[in-house]
Amino acid sequence: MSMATTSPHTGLFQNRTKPSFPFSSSSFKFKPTSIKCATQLHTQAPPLTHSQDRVFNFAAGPATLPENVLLRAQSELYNWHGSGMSVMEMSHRGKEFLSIIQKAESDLRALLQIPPEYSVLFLQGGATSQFAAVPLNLCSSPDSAVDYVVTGSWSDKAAKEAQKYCKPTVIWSGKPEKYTKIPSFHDLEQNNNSGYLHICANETIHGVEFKDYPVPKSGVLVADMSSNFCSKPVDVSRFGVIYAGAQKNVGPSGVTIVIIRKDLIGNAQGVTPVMFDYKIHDENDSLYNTPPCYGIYMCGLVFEDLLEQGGLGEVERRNKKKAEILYSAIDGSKGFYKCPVEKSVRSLMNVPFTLEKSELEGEFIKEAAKEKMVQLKGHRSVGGMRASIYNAMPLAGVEKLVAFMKDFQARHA
Amino acid sequence: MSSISTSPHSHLLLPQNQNHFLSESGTHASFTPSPRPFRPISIKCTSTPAQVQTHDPLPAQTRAQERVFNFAAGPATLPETVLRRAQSELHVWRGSGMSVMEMSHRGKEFKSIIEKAESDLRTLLQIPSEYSVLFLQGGATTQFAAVPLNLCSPADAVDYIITGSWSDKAFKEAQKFSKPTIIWSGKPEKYTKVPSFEALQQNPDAKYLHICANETIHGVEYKNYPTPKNPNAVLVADMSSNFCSKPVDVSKFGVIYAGAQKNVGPSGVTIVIIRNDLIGHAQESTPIMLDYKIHAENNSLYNTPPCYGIYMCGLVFEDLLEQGGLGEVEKKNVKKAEVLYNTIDGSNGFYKCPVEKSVRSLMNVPFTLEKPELEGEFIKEAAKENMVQLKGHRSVGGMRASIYNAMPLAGVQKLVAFMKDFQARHA
Repeated sequence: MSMATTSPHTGLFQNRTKPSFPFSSSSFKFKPTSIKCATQLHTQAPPLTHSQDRVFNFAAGPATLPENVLLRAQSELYNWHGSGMSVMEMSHRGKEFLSIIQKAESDLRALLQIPPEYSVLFLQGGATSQFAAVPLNLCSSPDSAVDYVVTGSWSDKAAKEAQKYCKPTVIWSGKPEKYTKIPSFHDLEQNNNSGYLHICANETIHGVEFKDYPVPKSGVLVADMSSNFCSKPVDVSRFGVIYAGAQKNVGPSGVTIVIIRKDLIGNAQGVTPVMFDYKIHDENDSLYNTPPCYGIYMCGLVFEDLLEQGGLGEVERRNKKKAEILYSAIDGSKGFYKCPVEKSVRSLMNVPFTLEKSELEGEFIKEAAKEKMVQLKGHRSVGGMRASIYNAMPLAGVEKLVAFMKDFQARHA
Repeated sequence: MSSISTSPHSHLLLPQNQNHFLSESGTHASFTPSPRPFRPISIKCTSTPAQVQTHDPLPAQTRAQERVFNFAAGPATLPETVLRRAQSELHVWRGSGMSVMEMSHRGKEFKSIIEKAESDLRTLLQIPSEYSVLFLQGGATTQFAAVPLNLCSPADAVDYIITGSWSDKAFKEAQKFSKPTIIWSGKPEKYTKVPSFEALQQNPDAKYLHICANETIHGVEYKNYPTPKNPNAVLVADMSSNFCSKPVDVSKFGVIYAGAQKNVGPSGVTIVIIRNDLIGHAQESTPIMLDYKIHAENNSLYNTPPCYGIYMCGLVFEDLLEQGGLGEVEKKNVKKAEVLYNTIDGSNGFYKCPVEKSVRSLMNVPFTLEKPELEGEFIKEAAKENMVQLKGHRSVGGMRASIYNAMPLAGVQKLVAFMKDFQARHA
């Protein structure tokens, strides 16, 4: 098959169309004053572009960002919308940055259709900080019981951290089967008085993804969605808390988004550091201290881009197509490539695979890198390869990888 | 006295500064010790004013590329050369095929970025080898908790000197994790002083003595530092708003911490410099992200660090070295502050700065007008002249000019000229 090539000047044809959405906030009006460079009007959503000088970056996080977002950020890094300063230089309490963070929140609410009884927080410290913040805020005492389903390394770390602040129980662990499965929800033996049930919606390292969510017997459902956030629609109302590091699907590292039902706010333990107290951040609109301003701005550009693509339903369709192409190539290789994850819970975002001839793995990775497909090495705790194909990885990148995989197999069969 | 008037066209003088920056940038490029050739690739869109089509006309005094003088307290102005460089390589960093924002934090590209940032910072501050440098998240406010959590047990006594709002907040947070005592507070005199060190009544058992080296809101700055009485105690300083503004003898401290967003980068990066023997004693309830041992052992890469912010700090450190290091930077800062304080003091009371002269900050200059009813007008007029964010902190009022490293002398001179003109028109 022929590979579509993009020219270095593709970016010049980007034209931002802004479909109207019924969810836009009436509390402010976003009035961009940037100067747009466009010589051609597209009525369709702009495709994910790929300049010739860029690689296809399969890193797990930080990860590839939409090229048009990067180009837009670049164009206004020095002087944002005629403000006379960079976003990096703005007071977080000035009207410019307030408009940026409010629009980011508004667009995120539109994307995920977040109900009004939830707060959206833009925090720091990564998902790892939330491993502590969740029990510190949701468990009124260190004696509170909570349940953890452990489907991979990240939910395991979350359960371990929770031991400092409450009494967590691992009610199911995929470790015996090397984290290739998700439990049947009917078989889960949940604690009757659990404060919450915690899951990791997508395990970045092992490539295991919840396609549906369990219902807690007591308490609320809490999910770490770091590596599949905004990759598909989610019924937020099924959760008490969703938290996600931004650096896979929605922005650069350094921003952590927490979506929390308001009635869960305000019960933090006495030893909770002020920066881990959801009430402090909620009451101060994430501006209690200086937030990671530039990262939030970048997330805002990504949210805007996702809306322009047609929202998360459309995004999910693209992600499914990309994942299908790659999984089909693996499954159709007659064993040359293997993905160990149970098919019903294979991740749309992180695709781990090994070679039947493991001695060829180093060569595979090196050759792919020469073909400008980088960061395919699997996590150090797992080995093999891992292709992270988040929202911003264009279909062309997956197609190129698949073509390479077939060629590599042909040359080493 | 006659006043120097500033005209709406004073910005036309900026091209000279632009030329200066450009030539500096030219010099900069030739001296960059880059491990690979610097190959900026960017697609630029330029148009002449006549071709600009917009439904939202910009204010008459503002053009797309004209920068304001930004006196914000933090986030704050960044060196123009650094912004230009970051812009040029945002899309693709130095032939890597990707943005810094997209790099794996464990890949060789980002490792070279964070290692160089640390190396340059060590050079700037002459950090001894027995100290670790950590690039963290959460701001100085997170360190208000991390310091006691790492340095003492809940029953330990610690001493706090309160010279303004930030050291006060640090003290309050420490109450959750230790037994802190305020051994001196400047609150009765509205935070205009730093105590005499001889008169301090320190706890003989205190594990550390905590100071805020520069109070952003009140404009009070330590010019030298106290010594803890307990020989086993250490001095801990929040240096968020004067970090890298002057040389510091790091060996006098056990811990220095600083949010990056005033002098060294964008918000979202917090730098901690800690003596190695103080690491590894965290309380059991310490969140893993607040445990210095975890970060020191993992070279700040235990989880995903704020990569782009660290890269920006690295560019700033490089720029500070090219300026000749912190001794040179301090000279510039002293001169800038002097120009402004002289204008305040020479205004026959029209402008006033309440801070005791010996501890006036080089970084944050608060001042009020004798006629407070003119303050709103002052701020508005200054903004029209492209001098923005001069309003004082909401807890203090008045004006505050934050003149960090990256505020050029020309900005302070413009402000001073405006102040004299404003006074002449309202005396």
